[in-house]
Amino acid sequence: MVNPHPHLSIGDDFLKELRGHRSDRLLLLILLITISCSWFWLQHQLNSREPVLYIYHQQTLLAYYPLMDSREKTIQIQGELGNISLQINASGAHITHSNCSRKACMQQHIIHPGEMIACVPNEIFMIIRGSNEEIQWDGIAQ
Amino acid sequence: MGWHRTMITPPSPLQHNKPSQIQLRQHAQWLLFLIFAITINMVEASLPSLGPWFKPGLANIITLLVLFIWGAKAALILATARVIVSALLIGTLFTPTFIIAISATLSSTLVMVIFYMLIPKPKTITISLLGATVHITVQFIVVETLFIQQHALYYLLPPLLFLACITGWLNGAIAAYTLKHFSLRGLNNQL
Repeated sequence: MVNPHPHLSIGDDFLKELRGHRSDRLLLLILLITISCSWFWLQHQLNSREPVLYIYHQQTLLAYYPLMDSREKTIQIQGELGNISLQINASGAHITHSNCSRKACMQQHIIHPGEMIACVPNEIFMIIRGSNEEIQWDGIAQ
Repeated sequence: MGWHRTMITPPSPLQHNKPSQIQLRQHAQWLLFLIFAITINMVEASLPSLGPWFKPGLANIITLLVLFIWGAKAALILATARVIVSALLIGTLFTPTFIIAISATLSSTLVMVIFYMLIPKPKTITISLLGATVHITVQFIVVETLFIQQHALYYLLPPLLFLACITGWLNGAIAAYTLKHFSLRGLNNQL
């Protein structure tokens, strides 16, 4: 094999590819601008007032809890594969038990508006949103 | 990279009428790529997750290589076979994970193929970037439509799209580097 660029090592050669072409950089720029604009728009949509945790099963709202309440509580949610245990306190919410196989939902701890936990096998979805109301309740289950 | 269109051997490795020795070699090489893609897929699945719903998509490098070497049909069949065989081996066939993976993989490969055919001188990074962003977007659409049914899920999409741009660029660069070395060693002529 004859190396046509003997002055280039494997590392240099890869770095040359990594820089990409002008069209690649243009596409990346367009994508980054689109993503940034949509990100800012979505953040703008989220209210920054009292954070409230909303729990859904598919499209059905199961319950919602204010996160400013310092008392810790553990609630059970009925998912497609069985019960999910959710711990809620002033420092956020996280799943402590789930019957799903990958347990990816258990790796997440949410606290800020816009953050969410989705357990796809159980079809359970939780999101923190800001509340427009003055909160004077512990939680509402529907 | 001028070899893109000129060095692709016209007959697909998946043709079935009286295969010659060259075609048989192409079949074997395509299968080798498939095994390699399945291995990468399974290693990725067993690695600790970098975050919910996020994988670097290293197996897509193989799809890119096959697309640039053999063309659209071989790439589409490889991507589909990779997801099905990996799901069979991991034990996730017909689970929500499989439905999300197959729809995202097929859509992203289809978009990669369309742009590969439309762009006069396609670059691996361009095609990979498009594939990565479509892959993550379709994952969200499928999860939202079939499983979670909450529009709020899309709040999570922009940061993951941003990560998809990084991995898409890296995978494209790795594919370009690999193709260049295939070309340097005369492997493209064999393929």
